[in-house]
Amino acid sequence: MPRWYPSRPSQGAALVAGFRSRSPNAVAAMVSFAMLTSPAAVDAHALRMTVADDQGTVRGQLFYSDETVAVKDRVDLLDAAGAELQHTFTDARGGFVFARVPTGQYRIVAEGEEGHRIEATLGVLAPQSAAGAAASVPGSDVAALRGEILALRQDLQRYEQRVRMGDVLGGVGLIFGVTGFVAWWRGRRVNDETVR
Amino acid sequence: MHISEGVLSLPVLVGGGGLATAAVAVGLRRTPDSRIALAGVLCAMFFVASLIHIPVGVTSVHLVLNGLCGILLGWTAVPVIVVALLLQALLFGFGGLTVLGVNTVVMALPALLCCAIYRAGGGPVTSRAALWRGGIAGAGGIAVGIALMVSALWLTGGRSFLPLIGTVMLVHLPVMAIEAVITAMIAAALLRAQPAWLNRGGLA
Repeated sequence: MPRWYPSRPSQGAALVAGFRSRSPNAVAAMVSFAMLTSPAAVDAHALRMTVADDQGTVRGQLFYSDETVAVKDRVDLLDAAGAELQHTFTDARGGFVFARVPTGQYRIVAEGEEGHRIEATLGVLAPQSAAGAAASVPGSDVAALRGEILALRQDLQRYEQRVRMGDVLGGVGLIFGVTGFVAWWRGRRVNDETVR
Repeated sequence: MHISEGVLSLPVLVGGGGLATAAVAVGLRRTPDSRIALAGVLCAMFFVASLIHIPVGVTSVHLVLNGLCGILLGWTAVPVIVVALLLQALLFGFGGLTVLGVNTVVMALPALLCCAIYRAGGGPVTSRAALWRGGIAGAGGIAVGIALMVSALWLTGGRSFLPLIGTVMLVHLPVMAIEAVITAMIAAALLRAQPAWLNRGGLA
């Protein structure tokens, strides 16, 4: 994944050019432009979680919005009423597992450092019969397929939680639009007074 | 640096919300028309800065740029930061609506402090002084912000937050360094090109 470094020469050059032109507007424009166009300016810090039920085993992963994994953070499994049933800590890859969870609705709450927190709800369907249990035997085709679907579901969840370029541009556009409106509104009043 | 929903206790949320509302009101009153365009540009910058992350060991931290907002905008930095944080919460899921007040205090209060430090005694006169004061403002904005964030967590009485401050400060050292450099460079450049920007409508 490409990352943005402030020492990247092209952006440094743009900044220097901005300073040399001695125009503060150019400086501000260059800084915001360099930030907007920097290749990886689409991810950052909020805690994210993927979680899925694998026949009564709840598997998930905890990571930050820039997709660095959250290691050794506490994850709680709560029932629908909010009582804690189990807790665990994420491993080196941010993964966590709750085993032998009975059928029902659950809340999964994870807390990272620095006041990060994420919560998700999950319906668990534990195998009822011996046949269902047999399907989860490792090595069987069904188990393999189930594993792949589980991974796919987690990929989808991760993708859904990504910061999208459209959101970034939308936010910046909104800020500039509102600023322009306020400036026009204030300017309009001044002009009216001048006319009078 | 964004505290998430559901972490803080109600009194801390209400306190932060009240403090932020008052500061935004003061900020709006002290915003001259001439500063609206600059406020918009810096708001967009602040909004995007949190997406720029710097890898630190196994984790990574992101830019905040509240010190820069402070020295350029003075009190106007407060409404600017609240708007940027609102959009970050709505569009990116950083922080949240109920914690908007606390997060605003955590980032805007250091901005005001940086402005006061930068403009103390009528502001710097030489480029070298501007570099130094800008650097202090850039790094200080982050350091004070972290202290406020950890205090908010500590006031809530969560799982031993206070011992965290050391580690949190440590991983933010690169951010402090980068923001110090950015803020110092911009402050020095503006002192030469457009000194009025750095002195007009300060905290006074």
